[in-house]
Amino acid sequence: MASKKPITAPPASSLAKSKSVSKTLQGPVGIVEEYETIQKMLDGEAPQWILPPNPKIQIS
Amino acid sequence: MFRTIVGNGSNRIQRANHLFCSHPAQLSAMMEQYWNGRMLNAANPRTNQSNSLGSPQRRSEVGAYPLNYLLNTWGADSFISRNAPNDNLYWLHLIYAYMIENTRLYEIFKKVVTAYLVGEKLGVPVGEAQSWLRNTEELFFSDPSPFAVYNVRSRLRPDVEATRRNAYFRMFGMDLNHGQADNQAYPFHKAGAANRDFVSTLEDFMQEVWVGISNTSNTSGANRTDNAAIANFARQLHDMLNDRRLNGNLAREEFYFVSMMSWFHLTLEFNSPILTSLRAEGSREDQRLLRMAERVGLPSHAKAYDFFQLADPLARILIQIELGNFNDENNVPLLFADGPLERDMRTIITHWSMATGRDMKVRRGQNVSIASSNYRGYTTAQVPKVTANGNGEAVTAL
Repeated sequence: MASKKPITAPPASSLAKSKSVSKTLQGPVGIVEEYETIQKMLDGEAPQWILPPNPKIQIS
Repeated sequence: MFRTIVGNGSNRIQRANHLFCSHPAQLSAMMEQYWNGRMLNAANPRTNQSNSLGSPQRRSEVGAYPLNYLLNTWGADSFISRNAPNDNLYWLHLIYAYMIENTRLYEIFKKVVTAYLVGEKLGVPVGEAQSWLRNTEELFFSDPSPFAVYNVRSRLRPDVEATRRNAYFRMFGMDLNHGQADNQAYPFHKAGAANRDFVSTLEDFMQEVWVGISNTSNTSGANRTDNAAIANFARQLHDMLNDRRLNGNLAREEFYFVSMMSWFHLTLEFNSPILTSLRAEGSREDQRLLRMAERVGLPSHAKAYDFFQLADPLARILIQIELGNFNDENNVPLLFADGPLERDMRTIITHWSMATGRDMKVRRGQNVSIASSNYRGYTTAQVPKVTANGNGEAVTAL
């Protein structure tokens, strides 16, 4: 009768692989960061535009 | 573009009113500055790959007023808004202008401005609305000043509305959802080189992304997500959109039309002076547009809310597609993994389905498979018999 294989921890190489997959989902090449930067730019959040002075309206 | 300049801070309404009360020459200078500050990178700073002329990071190399001309003519801080315009600016994709214009906003505003300029049928606009009226007429209903970057009107193409429809048709293979006021088709030149497959490809892309969103948290069972198919549709969209933009084609038109729709959209985003004058206040942009439409007797589109919701996220996603970020299937999971891209994709899929009446959450080909699976090949003798059980309920005997 064949003996059962002992349960062992997964090899380090497979852990490294799964880590790289999760990094991909977070955007290892910076796509998400780039997307957020563009969104902030388009929303006028950063950089914020300085409006020219207007004698009638004071912006707080 | 004007919404970008105003920003989304807590003093947004004040800043918008400030903009509406600026001199038209200031607004014109802002547009020149914006164009001057556009991204002009020969290579993508993230991937270091070369940017073709026409890509989002290198839209056009056509010059604006030289910066020193702007500064010498009008002064730096005293007149124009920024003194360091080289900020690598983007503007929204042309799809933004298309979606916003589909609400019929442009025609409704045109009627409002005309009514105020030729009579007092709508009353007399309040003080700040007078500035808005002047600016709107000068920027969007007058012949632009010579040499301005947004001058897309000439004796060769005198009708800017036809020019807009021409650009939409070339880029998306679609005309607007409305014709002229009498429901006749609007005449414009339909170019032979047009992306007629844009809608079907975009819908395929959305349906596949929805499969990914639906399965992203699966821990067991089948996962029908097909990253390769999504990457393939993204590549097709990337290629067709960039084909229309070769060497910076359509860049100035896009810039002007996006700016124009941004001005009108901004006007509807709060109870601005012109809306107060019209008594067209509301809690949402589509409701304000609806009330304004009622005042001038021209209905807005019934799906205006969905078009407003679609405009920004779809423009952002198409910029990403044009950058080629999803041509690689390794990047595709970003579209359905929790994050800003996934949130935008959900919004797009939901409101596209509502606006078009074509449900992007239904599996591709499912209607056909439902029809065929209902037919079980019974002969007359095999038709299921319906009998009653002991409780008087109908039971089908298969």
